[in-house]
Amino acid sequence: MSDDHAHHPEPLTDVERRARALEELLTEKGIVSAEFIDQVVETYAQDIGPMNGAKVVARAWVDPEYKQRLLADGTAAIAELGIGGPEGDYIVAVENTPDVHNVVVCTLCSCYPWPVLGLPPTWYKSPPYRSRMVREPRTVLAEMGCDVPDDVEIRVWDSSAEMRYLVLPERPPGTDGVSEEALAATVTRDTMIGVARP
Amino acid sequence: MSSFPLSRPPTVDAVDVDAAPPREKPRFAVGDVVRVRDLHFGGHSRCPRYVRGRRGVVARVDVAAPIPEVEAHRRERVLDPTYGVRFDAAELWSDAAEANAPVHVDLYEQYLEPA
Repeated sequence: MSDDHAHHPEPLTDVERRARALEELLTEKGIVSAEFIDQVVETYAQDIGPMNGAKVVARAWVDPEYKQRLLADGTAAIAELGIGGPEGDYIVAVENTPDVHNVVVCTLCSCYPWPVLGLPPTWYKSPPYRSRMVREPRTVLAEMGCDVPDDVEIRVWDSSAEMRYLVLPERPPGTDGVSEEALAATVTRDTMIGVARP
Repeated sequence: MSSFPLSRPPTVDAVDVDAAPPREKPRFAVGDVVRVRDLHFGGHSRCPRYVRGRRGVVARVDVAAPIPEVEAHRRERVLDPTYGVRFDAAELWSDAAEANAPVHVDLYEQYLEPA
């Protein structure tokens, strides 16, 4: 990945330098090519992203039987829409209701359901989000502009093993006649991580 | 520029990695109360520190997957069942816990014991 576009580039952080060193070593040893890394980043930045998850959510909102299948076996229901791939072998969909709000974190690193949400945002990978979301989720959510009433249970999902999580947000009120496609256009990445409510 | 070690010196001998035989049949079922073993492994692990020694309830039985410690340090894929385990916030954080905010953590069977 090149970043020589700036005349006065920001100094690299330790993590960036470490990633750079690893990338150079892997390239030097012929394990991966620089083009391969660029290609993966480009594919996930442009072709695979939250629009996939939005399609899944909109389908679940308009089709109660699909929603049942999604909650029973997320991976299979998502595959019905032709969506799958790395970091998506086992996807669990968790449903928001008037009584329950779900939010996803990976305290150990940055596990994330790539096929439905693309690559994780920077804040998702940041140590403060990862450490605080399990310890004081209601406070962190409020800081992120997502106020969850005290009587609503917050379920935090730490994807520390093989499962990857997709939050199924509540369908916004007053959208009864709205088409599936129009609904999908309203679904944001953050509502599917659980740090925003539609 | 300050320097950083690309990787830390190994603190784990191959013999330290539990040589458990592969297991695919889950030992626990949904609803079982389990405790996370208070292990402090000197290398790569997928057991978050904040659940060690804590009691939780099995909420989901998931796939069998390679034990991370063995895969990282012995380069072998030894299967172990995995689970979604629900912890009450008070069990994890005592008085500092927020109300009504349980945490689900995904754990390999080797990390768990009956409670």
